[in-house]
Amino acid sequence: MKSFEAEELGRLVDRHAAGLELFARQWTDSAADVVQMAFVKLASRPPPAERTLTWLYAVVRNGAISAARSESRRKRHEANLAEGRQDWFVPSPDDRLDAIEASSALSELPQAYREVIVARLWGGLTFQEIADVLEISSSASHRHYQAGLTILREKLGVTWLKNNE
Amino acid sequence: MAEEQRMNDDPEFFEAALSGLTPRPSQINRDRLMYEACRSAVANTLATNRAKLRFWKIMTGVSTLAAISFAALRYSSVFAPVVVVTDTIPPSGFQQTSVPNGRVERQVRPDFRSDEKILGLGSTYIHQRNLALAAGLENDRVWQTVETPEMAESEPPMTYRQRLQSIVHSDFGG
Repeated sequence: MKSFEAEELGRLVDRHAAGLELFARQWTDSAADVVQMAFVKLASRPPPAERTLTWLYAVVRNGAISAARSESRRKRHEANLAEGRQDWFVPSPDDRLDAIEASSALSELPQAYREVIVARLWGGLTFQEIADVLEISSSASHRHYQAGLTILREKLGVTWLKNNE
Repeated sequence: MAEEQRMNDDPEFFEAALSGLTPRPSQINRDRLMYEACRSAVANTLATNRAKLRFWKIMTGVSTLAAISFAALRYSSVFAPVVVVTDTIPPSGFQQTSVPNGRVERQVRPDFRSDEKILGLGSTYIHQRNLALAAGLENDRVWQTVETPEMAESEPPMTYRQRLQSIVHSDFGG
């Protein structure tokens, strides 16, 4: 592995690891393992540079779904969901939404909507890139995004936000 | 102290608020990840190099076998047994010439590079054909015959043209 590639990999890890883990956490508790495997795979067989991020999200999604198929992990994940221990976000006094409530509302969204919202808001993917990852059309990814946001707005108290100013 | 304020009806406001939530920090061990990634990349490179090496070994083996085969073919051709070929000369024409028994024997070594043996054509024919193509039919050099020992003893050499004329004169009384 050349030094430039190592630097590039480090930059990708620093910038996208948290978003990728959040994306993988929709399916599995072992999100960190899944994301690490994706980065290792990226180092050994890098895709074209312009598709790196899309490729990473696709690999993480496949890995997370595979991991979720493991019975013990799935049961543990379901137990966590039932207990409401969704800590997808770090609470911060600067947040204008409650992090725990947002996590809970997000976890209750239909999966198709949740995937698009997480990839868009915390992954920074465009609708076209999301469509490539999820193998749907770009317009469908946009529709899912809007529908998911509408549901979240209703669940999180549509018209009221905390004002920290 | 934070107080609640009516949210802007613009969906982008809610979108911005939602995206402002910070995902839980990555639990990846960065050093371990970099180590694993480098090890995987090196292993992949080594595997690729091994595949290339295997390919070139196979190619070298194939070309060596091909070279040995061609060399063996050539070697067997040089030391092939001599085959005696008997050409029968048509009686009407060659009774007029100096060949007494109407048969000429020559020694031929098979040559795998030529189809002469297959076509049943003598080397004289090939030689004369080449001369005819190069110099034209009117050139006397083309019609020069090859002297056989029997002809040299009995008569002076004749050209094929002279032979043809003598045959025509004898058969048609010209």
